[in-house]
Amino acid sequence: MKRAFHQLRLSFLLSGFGLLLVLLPVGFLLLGSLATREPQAVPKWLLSSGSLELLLRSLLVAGATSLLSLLLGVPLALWWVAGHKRRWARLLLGLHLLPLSLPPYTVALGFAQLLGRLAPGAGAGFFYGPGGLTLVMTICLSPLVTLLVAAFAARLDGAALEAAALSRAPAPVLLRIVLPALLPAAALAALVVFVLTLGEVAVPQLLRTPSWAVTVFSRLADLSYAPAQATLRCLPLLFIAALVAAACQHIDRRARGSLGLRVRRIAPALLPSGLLWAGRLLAVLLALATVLSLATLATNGIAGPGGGLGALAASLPALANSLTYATTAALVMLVVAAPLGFYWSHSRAPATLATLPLLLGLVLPGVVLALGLVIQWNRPATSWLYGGTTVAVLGLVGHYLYLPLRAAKLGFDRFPRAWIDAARLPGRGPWQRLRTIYLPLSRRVLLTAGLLGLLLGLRDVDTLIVLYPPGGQTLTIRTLTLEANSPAGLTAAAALLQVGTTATLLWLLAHLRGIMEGRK
Amino acid sequence: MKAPAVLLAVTTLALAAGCHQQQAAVVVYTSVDQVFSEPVLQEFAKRTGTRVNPVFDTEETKSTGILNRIIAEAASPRADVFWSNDPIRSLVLVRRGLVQAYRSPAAAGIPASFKAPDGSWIGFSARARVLLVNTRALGDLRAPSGILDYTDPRFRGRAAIANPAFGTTTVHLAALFTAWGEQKARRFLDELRRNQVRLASSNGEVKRLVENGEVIFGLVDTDDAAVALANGSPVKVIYPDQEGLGTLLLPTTVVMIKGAPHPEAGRRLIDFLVSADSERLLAFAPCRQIPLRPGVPVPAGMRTPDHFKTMKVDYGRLAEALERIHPLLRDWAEGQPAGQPAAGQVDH
Repeated sequence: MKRAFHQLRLSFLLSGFGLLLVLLPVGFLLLGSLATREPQAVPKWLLSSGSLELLLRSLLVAGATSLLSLLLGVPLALWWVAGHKRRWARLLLGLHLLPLSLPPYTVALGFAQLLGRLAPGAGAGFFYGPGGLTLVMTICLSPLVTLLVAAFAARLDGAALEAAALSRAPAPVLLRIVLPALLPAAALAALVVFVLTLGEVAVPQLLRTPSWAVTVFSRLADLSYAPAQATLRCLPLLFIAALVAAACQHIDRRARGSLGLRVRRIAPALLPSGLLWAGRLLAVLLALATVLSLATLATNGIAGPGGGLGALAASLPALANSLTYATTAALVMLVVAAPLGFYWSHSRAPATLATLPLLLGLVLPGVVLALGLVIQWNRPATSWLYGGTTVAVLGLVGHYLYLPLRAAKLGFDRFPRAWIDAARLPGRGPWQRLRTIYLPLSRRVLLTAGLLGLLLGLRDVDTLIVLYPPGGQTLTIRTLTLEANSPAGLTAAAALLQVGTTATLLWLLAHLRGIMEGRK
Repeated sequence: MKAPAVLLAVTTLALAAGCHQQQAAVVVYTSVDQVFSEPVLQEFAKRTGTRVNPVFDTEETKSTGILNRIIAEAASPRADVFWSNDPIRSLVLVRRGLVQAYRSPAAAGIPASFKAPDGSWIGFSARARVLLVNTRALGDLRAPSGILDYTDPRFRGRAAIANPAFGTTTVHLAALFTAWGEQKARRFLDELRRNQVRLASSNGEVKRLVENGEVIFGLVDTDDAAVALANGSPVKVIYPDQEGLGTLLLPTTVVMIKGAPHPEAGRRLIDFLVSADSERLLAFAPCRQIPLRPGVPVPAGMRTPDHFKTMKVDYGRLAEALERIHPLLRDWAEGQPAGQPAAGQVDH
C-alpha cells in the first residue's frame, strides 16, 4: 500500500513535469489562437497539393536518412563490438561519433564552405537539395544507430553465439541470431533519426531545400504570425511519437537495459569477415567526411577572410552563454532524471504513460515549444522567470528531458533485482536508499545522462532561437545569424569554437569515466 | 553522500542568477544583419558607456522572426528598441499599437517622407532593391533592365527571387501590388512560376545563386550586392526600372517599443542610430547602406537617391497592402497559384 502510494506520488511528479514543460505551453499556444481564424486554415493547408508534396518529400528525406543510417551504423557497431582496440580504430570511431554532438548545421556549413572553395557552383545541384540534406543528416545522426546497436550487441549472449557458430557459418549466425536480436535497438535508433531529420530546421534553410519543418517554423516567423497553424501542423508528429513510445516499450520487454555505453567484445570469428571489412571501410569514409567538413571550418576559421584569433575571441561571450544555459539545463535534467528514472525503471506502464508528454516535447519542433513558453510565462507577474536565463533553461529541459530521463532509466534497469531487494531492508526509506545505495552505484550512468543533457543543450538551435535573452546569444545561434553576409572566416570561427568545446567535453568525459572505472 | 544536495543547490543558484540577469542598459531587437549592425551597436556602447543587449535575426526568417517575438512578448515587453531592416515591419508594430512615439531631435536632417509625422517611426540609412547579374552566365544575352524581365522567356529557369513570405522581397511585392494593382500583380506572380523562376529561401541565397552562375540574375538588396562585388564575383548591379516605376528604396527604420523597460537608454540609442554619424558608419561598412540625409560622406562610386530614379512609395499604404496580401504570398510560395483577386477586392 505504502509502495503504491509512493509510486502514485512519483507518477504525478513525472506527469507534472510533462504538463508544466510541454502540455501547458502548447495549450497556451493553441488557446490563444482559438479566437482567430487560424485553425480553420489548417485543413485547407493539409489537403493542398503543395503541402502534401512537401510533407511527402520531407518524409522521404527522413526515411532515406534513417535507412542510410541503418546501413552505415549497424556494420560499424558490429565492427566496434568485435573489438578494435587499436588507437587508429578508436580515432576513426571518435570522428564518426563526434558529429552527433554537434548541431548538424555546423557540419553542413563546413561542407558548404568546402564546396564554395573547391569549385563554386559544382556539385551544388546535389548538395543544395534533398541529396545534400540526406547526406548531412546521415553523417550527423548515423552515430546514434552505431551507439544504440553497439550497446545492444554488447549484451548478446556470447556463449549462445559460440554454440551457434559450431554448427553454422558466420553469415547465418548474423542473419538468424545477431540481426534479429539487434532489431529493436536498430528500430528505435531509426525512429529517432527519422524524427530528428523531420524536425530539422536549420540545415534545410542553409541548403535551400524546402521542408515541412521549415514551413512549420515559417508560420511562427512570417508576417501572418499563425502559431496555432504551426502547432496543428505538428499533428503528424503525434503518430511518430506514439511509434517511438511503442518501440521503447518493445525494447524494454525484450531486454532490460542497454544504454550503458560500455561495449563488451564479440569474438570477430563469430561475424562474417565481409561485414567487418565493411564496418572498417565505413568507419574510414565517415571519419573522412567529418574531417573534410571540420578541417574546412578550421582552415577558414583560422586563416580565412574575417577569421583568426580576433574572430575566435569575438565568439567567446557566445560560448560562455551556451555553456551557462546548457550546464544549468543539464543539472536540472540530472536532478529530475535521477529519482524519476529510478522510479520509471521500477514501475513500468503507469510511468511510461506519464512520460508521454515529455516524449512529445522531444518530438515537437523546439520553436513551437519555445513560443508556447513565451506566451505562458511572459507576463508582468512572472517576469522574474521570463526576465533572465531561466526561461531558456526551461525550454531546453522541456525539449530534451525525455532523453536523459530514459538514459537514467536504462541505467537503473541494469541493477540486479537482488540488489534492490537487499536495499529494501527495514530502516531505510526510498530517498535514503536512492541517496546511499543507488546513486553511488550508478555514477557512470548518471554521468552519461548529465553529459547527454549538456551536449543537447550545447547543440540546440531551434529552442533557444526564440528564447535566448537579449545579449545572451549562444554560439549555435551566433553561427546561424552571422551566416548572412559575413565573411566565411567569421562564421567558421564561431562554428570551430563549437566543435572544439564539444570535442573537449567528450574527451573530458572519456577521461573521467576512465578514472571512475579505474577506481572500481 | 551529498552530491544530490550539492547539485540541487548549484542548480537553484544558477537559476536564481538567471532571474536577476536582466539589468540591461538597453535592449534592441534588430533584423539588420548581425555582421553590419553589431559594429554600430558597439560604437554606441563605446561612445555612451551604455551596455547594449541585442537580439539578432536569422537570414531566412528576416525580419519577421524578431517581429513575432516582439508581438508574442507584447504582454510584458523586453525590447526597448526595434531596428528593422525595412520600414514595413516597424509599421506592422505601429498598426498593432505596440510602439510609442519618439520624435528624435537627431532625425531633423532626414527627409519627411522617411519618417512618421507622429514620431512613431523613423527611417534612415537605406538599401535599394537591385538586380544582381552574373556577367559570365549572361553571355551574349541582353541584360535585364526591370522587374518584368523575370517573365521574359529568354531568362526561363535562369532567374531567382527570394521567398516573398520573408524579408525585403515581401515589401517589394507589396510595392508592386500597390503600383500595378492586384490583378496585374497576381498575373505577374503566376508568370514567375510559368517562367520557372527559382524560389530561394532568402536574398542571401539569391546572391549565392547568381555568384555561382546557377542563375543569370536575381533581385537582391544593395548590401547583398556590395558583398558579392567585394567577393570579386563576376557580377554587375543594375538599378531596375529606370525607364518606368523606378527602383525601390527601403530605409532601415527604428521604433521605440511601448512599455519599454529602459526608455531613457532606448531614446539615446535611437538618437544615435538616426544620426548622421550612424549613416556614415553604415555607408562605409561592407553593407554600403545609402544615407538619406543630404551631405553625409559616402564611399567613392556609391549611388545615392540623387543618382537614380526611385519608386514613389507611401510606406504607410504599403504596410496596409502587405498585411492584406501576405497570406497570398505565403500560399504562392508554398506552391499554390496566385490566381485572380477574390470578389470585393479592389484593384488600384
